[in-house]
Amino acid sequence: MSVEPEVPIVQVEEVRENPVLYKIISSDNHVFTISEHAVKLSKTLWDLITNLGLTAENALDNPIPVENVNGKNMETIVQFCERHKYDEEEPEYTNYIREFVLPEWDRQLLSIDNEELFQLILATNYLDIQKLMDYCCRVIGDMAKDKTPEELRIIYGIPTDAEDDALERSASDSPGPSG
Amino acid sequence: MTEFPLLRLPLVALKECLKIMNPLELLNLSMCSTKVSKLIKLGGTSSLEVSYLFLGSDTKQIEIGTSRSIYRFEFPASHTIPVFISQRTADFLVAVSQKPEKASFSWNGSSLELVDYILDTFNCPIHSISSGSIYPYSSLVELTNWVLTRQSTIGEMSVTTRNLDGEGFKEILDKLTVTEHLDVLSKLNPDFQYTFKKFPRSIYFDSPYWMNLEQLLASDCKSITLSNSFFTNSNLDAYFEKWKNGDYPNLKSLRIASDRLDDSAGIAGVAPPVRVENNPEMVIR
Repeated sequence: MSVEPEVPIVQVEEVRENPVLYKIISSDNHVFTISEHAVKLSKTLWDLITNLGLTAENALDNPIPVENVNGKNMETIVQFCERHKYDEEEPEYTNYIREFVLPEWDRQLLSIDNEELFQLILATNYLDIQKLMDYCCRVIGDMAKDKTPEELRIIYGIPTDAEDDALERSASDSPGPSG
Repeated sequence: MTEFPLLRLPLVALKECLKIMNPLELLNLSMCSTKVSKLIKLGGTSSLEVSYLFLGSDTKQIEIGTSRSIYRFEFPASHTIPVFISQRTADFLVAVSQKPEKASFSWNGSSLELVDYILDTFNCPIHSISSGSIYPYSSLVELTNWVLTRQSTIGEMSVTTRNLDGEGFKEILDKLTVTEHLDVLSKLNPDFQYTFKKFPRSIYFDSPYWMNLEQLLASDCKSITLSNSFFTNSNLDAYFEKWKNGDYPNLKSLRIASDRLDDSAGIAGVAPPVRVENNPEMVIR
């Protein structure tokens, strides 16, 4: 008996809806395809698409170069946006401490090395994807759970007051651009 | 594993990370360095509700309330302060059926020094102070003077101090405006008189012999609870008459208990006994 290949839900929806697709080129020349609903999660990319006047007819012929994001981060970002493209819009929140739990799928996606996470946040910030920024920050915030100040200093690479003072002194002692 | 360079994050990301941390995590983070302690307020901490409960000379509590939880620091303790974390329920009451989680926080100073540190780090006002019945009057003065060095209004104040000095208490009420809720459970001398320039939104006074009809009629509170008062049926008639004329649009709850209420006479046209609608066994007095 032959087994039917499992088709991811995302693809089924793509075929059914016949969505508009866009091409994005990362800084290291990797090409990604992303649906219209997904790309809208990035304010930067959607503004760019709108300003360039890309349409369903010409979108795939006009790849969008993104100089500040490499292929590895773009892959994560595209996966995230496709996963969350139909999420309900989150209500506006006030300037208040926020308490929410990270969904398991996203926790898996963001289980990456700290340096990679840092680079992903820079990319997310550049592409202005609020939800991914929230989720990345949740991962960073979770690192602080049940930790003492001494442990937090190590986890977050925070210099002591004495180290900060020393850095400040050495900065003021070093000659300026004209010196 | 490599460290995560928190302080190298773009400002918008740093703010989000701080907003996600709870008050205890933020306080522990603030202890890492002076530079970090100055950044904590970026996490929107100014809207946290900090309360100081002075329950006795050696029993004090500090509570930090978020929209969903309350973090309670319990003194006396030296160096390692136990912190109890309770979840709020949907109606903003703390769930008492669940055993609170217990964490801890290292602090070498006094409870009041910790409140100062919390308020400065979070850049928020003190929301509430509460004094226990064994709390001496002199300490209440000290506590309110400390509040006045920081702010001239406070959300909530609860006074249960015994032997409350009337003149001194008047001075406290004149200087420190209570905006949200005022509890006065202390016994005051019968000759005590005080006229509120502006009533708090909610009041709970025990034995308010000092509160006369004129004061009651002048109140514009959302909630009034007076136990052991001297009010009579005709006093309440006068109040309800004004209420029926639309004088108290904010009023949501009124509970007045008095030994001078006459069960045989009606109030506001309602024949006695007046009973609680959902509990017919209870007679309103």
